[in-house]
Amino acid sequence: MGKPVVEIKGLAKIFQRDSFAVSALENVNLQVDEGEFLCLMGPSGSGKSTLLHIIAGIDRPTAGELRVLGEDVGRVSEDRLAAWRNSHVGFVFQTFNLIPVLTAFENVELPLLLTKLSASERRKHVVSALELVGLKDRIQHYPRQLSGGQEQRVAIARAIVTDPTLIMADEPTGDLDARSAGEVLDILSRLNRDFHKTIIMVTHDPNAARHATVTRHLEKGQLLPQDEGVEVKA
Amino acid sequence: MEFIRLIFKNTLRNPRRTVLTILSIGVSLFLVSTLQAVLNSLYRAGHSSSNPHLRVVVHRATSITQSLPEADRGRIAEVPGVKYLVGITWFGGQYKDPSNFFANFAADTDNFEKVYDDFDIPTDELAAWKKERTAALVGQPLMQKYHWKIGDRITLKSTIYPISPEFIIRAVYTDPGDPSQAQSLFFHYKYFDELMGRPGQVGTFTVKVDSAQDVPKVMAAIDAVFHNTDAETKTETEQAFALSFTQMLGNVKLLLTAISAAVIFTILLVVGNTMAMSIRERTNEVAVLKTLGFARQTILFLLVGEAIVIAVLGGLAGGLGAMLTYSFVRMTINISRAFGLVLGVIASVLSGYGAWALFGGPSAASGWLKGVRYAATVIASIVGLAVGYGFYIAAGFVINIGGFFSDFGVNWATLGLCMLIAGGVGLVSSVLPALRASRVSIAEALRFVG
Repeated sequence: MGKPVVEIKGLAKIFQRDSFAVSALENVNLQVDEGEFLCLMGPSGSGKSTLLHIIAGIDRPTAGELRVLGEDVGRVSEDRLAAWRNSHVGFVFQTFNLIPVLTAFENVELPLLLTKLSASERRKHVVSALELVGLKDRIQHYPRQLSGGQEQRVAIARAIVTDPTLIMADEPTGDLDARSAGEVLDILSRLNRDFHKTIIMVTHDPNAARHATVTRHLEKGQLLPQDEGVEVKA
Repeated sequence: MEFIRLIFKNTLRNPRRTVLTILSIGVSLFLVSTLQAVLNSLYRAGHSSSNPHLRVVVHRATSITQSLPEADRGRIAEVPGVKYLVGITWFGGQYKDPSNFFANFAADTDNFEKVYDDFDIPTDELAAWKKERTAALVGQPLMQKYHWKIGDRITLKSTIYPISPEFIIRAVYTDPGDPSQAQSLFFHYKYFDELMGRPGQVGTFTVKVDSAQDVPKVMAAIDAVFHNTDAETKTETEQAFALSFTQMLGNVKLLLTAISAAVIFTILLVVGNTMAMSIRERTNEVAVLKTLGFARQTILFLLVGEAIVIAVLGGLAGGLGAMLTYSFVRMTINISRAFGLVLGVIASVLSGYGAWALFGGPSAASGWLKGVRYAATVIASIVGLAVGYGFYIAAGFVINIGGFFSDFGVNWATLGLCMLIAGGVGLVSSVLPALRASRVSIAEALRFVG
């Protein structure tokens, strides 16, 4: 196993809804090592997406310690966190979330606009990323001209174009048919196996979980001990 | 630069909304430009503090619409510092029909060329004008506008006096200092007085003063002569007198400025509502951009930039549109009114498109809503054609009035003002919703269903 990429100790998250406090995560302890493909499973409302968001630095924990790639993401300023996400984290959403007025190329190029790369360097990176997901021929297509599976592959290209260490995927196959889902999962597996990317994926789908190297289950905001989940080696 | 490209791409997100917003800002700022042009025309004369021709105007203290006794001429001439003077009476004559409006005056011919020494009148023509009782002296631009030539006979029907005298054009003058201002016709006061039954009344006296230093003294001295008489006078510089015409209309400036402010406030509300809606719809997308690493300031820049681009395009459409429209009217109105159809067609296309876009959407693809959409488009096109043509005729009438409106039009300063207003509207209308969107937490925004 590689060095730890994610280290979580006693993490908790409480949402305040009017006068009610809703506990989404309780005393979560987790370590994800470099090169691991972790699958987080659990029923709706179990807190798996919240945990993913907190690790990606797009939500803050209420309590506990959290270090991701050595950064105390729970405490750094929002602007620094934005720059950190841009360099280290690639995020894949369930609903793809491509910008409709931009082509596949422009969507993938978006995170690179925040770097100091020249236009030609950006182009090289974008084409490589789209080639990796098998969509080099759809470079000038708009999201509306792509199928759901192709849209998700563009979203994966966007997530990997900055060559992040950590890829986070929130139900990446939730909106896809079985064939497209298989293609997307194959790409994620390849990124983990061939490019040594650390991947954390949230899913309901046991078939999707089979692509992960480690599976952990959440229930009512608590992470179950590893032996209580189903660990499946790819 | 890349972000600018992104801003332009975003403006095309909802082309219908963008075009309608640009149109609404454009039409509003067209109106603001027009009001500004009116203000500029009305106040240009009054804002000049210089008196290069050393002329002062004597009129009744009570109102410029009341006349002075002809006998005052001699008493004014005796005032120290007065070099020459001529009686000038506003005749208010119309040539053929009311739309042919220009300034025309009954004037003393003695010393006329000495008081108006800035006019360029050929000596033989001046002599011919002075010699013949029914002769008229006409400004060169007027001669061109009505295709007159020396020797032509014209009749003016007064809107003030019950007479319609006939004149023979015997002389033409130009004003080398401001050629566009030579838009008047002068005829003999004696002829006018005779036709009126010799009432011996003069509208104003224009006095040529010896020197610039004498001007204040002469003005005070003339008014002192008529102090406590039946016809007290008020003597002003020529520029101040010109301004008093506009003051007759009340506080026009305040009124026009208030209307402009109301128009600007209205577009602020319209654009503000549009931008708030547009930004709210994109809450989820803002979350995605933030997830990708876009900082709050960058998001703010993109959203506000988009509003400013749309508003400035509207400003350009309105300001530049007004500038080109009035230039076009000025160039063509005296050639043929058929040119008005050009404006009519442009207005027709714009209003037709506006209606087509407004009644569009998936629900208008079939059924009775489709019929409503076609009907609205046809009606809007016809109304646009009529309004555009009517506007052309109205603008042409204003431009042909001459005088204050002889140089009516939108200048570069007004266009710049329009762009500033548009930019300001874009900024103010979007800054709050954009600020709110840029500050929303990603997790919360991802859950947002707009």
